[in-house]
Amino acid sequence: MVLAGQQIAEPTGSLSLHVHAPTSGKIVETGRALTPWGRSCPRVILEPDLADRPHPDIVDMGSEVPEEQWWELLTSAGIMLQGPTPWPLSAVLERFRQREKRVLVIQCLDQGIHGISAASCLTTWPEVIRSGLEAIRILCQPQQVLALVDATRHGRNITNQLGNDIEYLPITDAYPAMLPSVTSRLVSGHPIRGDQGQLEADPLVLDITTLFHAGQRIRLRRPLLDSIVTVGGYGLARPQVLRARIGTPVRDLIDQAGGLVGIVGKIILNDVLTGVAIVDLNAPVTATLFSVIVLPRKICRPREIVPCIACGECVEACPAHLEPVFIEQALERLDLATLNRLRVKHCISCGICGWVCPSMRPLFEKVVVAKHRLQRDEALHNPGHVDSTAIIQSGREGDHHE
Amino acid sequence: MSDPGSRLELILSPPPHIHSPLNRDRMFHEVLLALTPTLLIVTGAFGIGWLIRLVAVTVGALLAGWLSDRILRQDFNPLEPAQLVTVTLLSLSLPPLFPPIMATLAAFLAVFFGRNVFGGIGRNTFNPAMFGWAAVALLFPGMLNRGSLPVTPFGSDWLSGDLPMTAATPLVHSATSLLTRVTRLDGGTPAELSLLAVLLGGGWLLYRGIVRWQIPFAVFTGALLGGLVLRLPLINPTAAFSDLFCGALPFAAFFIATDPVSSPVRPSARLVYGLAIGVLTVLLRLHTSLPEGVAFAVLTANLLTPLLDNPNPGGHR
Repeated sequence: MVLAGQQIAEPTGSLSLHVHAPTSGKIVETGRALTPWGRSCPRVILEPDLADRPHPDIVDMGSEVPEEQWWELLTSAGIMLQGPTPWPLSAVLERFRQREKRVLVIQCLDQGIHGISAASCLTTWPEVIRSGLEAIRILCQPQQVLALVDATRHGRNITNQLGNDIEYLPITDAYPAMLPSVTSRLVSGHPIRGDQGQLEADPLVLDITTLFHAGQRIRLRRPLLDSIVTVGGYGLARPQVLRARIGTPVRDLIDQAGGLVGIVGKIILNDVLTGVAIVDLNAPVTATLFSVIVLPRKICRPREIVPCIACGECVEACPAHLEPVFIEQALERLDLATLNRLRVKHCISCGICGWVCPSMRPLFEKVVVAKHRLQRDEALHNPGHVDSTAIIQSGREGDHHE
Repeated sequence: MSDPGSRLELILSPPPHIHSPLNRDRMFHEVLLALTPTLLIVTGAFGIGWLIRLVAVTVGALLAGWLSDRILRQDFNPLEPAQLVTVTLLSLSLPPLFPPIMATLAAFLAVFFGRNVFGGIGRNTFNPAMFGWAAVALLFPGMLNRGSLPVTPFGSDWLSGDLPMTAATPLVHSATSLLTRVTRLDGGTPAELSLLAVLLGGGWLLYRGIVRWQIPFAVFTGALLGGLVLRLPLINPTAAFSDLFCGALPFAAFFIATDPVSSPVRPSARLVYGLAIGVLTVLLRLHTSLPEGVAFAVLTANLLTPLLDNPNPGGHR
């Protein structure tokens, strides 16, 4: 038997997480599973007792949490950064604290379809978010704090909420401006450094939901038990932002948002340009899920893939100045030396190359495969690995109809 | 709300899950659209003569496509937009009194050997239309000089009659003559007929983003450079400009050199490619007896494309 908030898994390396039970219940199975992204990861199956009894550690005592405990609390909360390349907050803060020049960037750009986004939780829970920001500032002592906001009225509203001693930077919200690597380049002037860039925390880019979870941990001792998920898309009856416990099946989120409408083509986890399409609606909410998008068939019907015509659109479009056309050719030949020379590791996983290709080639997929091949090749020569996030699946086994 | 009894058919494919409106067919349709002013003026000026050549070229292309289907086992779609563009460009590059049977041969060679033998669309090294032109230039020397005069409604007041490379036409004397230069109709192949139509079409392609500025800019710059070096501008100062808007160069700059498959991918490489075409055109116009240097200039630059894309072909160091 476990209680809500009880720690049920320990990190095994510098890049892995603490995991806490999202609700009270009985652990019925531990093992491994395949994520929708096709990678194997540890899995715990929890059967809830529907009483949601909290663990004594996370009961709100009404008193302030002393500052000495903040670092320990934050780094053991199990919080992940959001985006196509999620890293654990603990690892990133550790590296940030050790930097000489520390710049903190809060990313408040609107990421959602229909104008709804997780940044709306800034208006729902402003004190929690401010506490989280305060805690990180006190613990890490950044010399400069910036906030990226939309250059619109919506953005100006946010500036009223976060505080006065922050420098606000209005950005015209064009994808991929909100991706951490692009943000880093805007602020620091360094060239884009690919998926590892955010781990190096130069500058540290955090978004609103991360501050929210940090604030919950500091004020209420509450570890990561739920995720703020934007459930949207034209195939849903009532798109909205939901706060769902880890392990909730995606099916329940869709039902909460009014269910499916019309002829549905794809159900996508996270981003429309980089996310994964799923067929199993039992896929659970995880610490890295921030969006579920349902697209009608008309928008996402499969299109014929034809040979590359070397038009150069992918080269012009890539924010990291890579050449996806050559990366694809080198991958066909399995030419790893050329892939290294083409700086595949600088890819920030934005997906624009595939979006723009007139021949409908799945360029983003190829670049991802190229990165994996290079990583595997390196792992063969330098042992060491990155741990994956644990997935907790709650509910009665197999059957989710209520 | 989701009915447990109904079946949900979901698509499982890799990202991106939405796509930009640009697709390959649309790109080539835009090129055909940009060719419309030229096609209209050409049909008006050359009339039935040109239409016969167009039909002859189409027949050749269809023949090549059919043969590719049988021998090379390539799928053959007669209405493939890239094919339509090649056919149109080739027919605009051949003189109006060119024998139809040779036009058919040119088209057949262009499509079969210029494109399909390499693997079809997206895999050719050479520009197919220019390959066809060059093939007939070599096989039937002198035939391409035939027939410069348009014969219908526009009347002979509008005709310059000269073959472009012999007349060192000043670029601008005054505003009036610039207007005259742009709107007059030149003799030669249909591609050379109306500078205005070509500029309108080229402007449309630039505006739509189908063609980026690098190649047309570099071609004109290369021609200017070639003119400065090769045409003795100390003696006749405006000679340097004489190649810029003469002959098929403007047409080639916007429609032929910009063929995506045979031109390099990187913007910087494209600048070098365009410069090469411009300079080589001037060189070939001056020092060979070819009626127009552009075709071989483009083909030579096509030979440079793999190197411009990958300066380290062996990949060892």
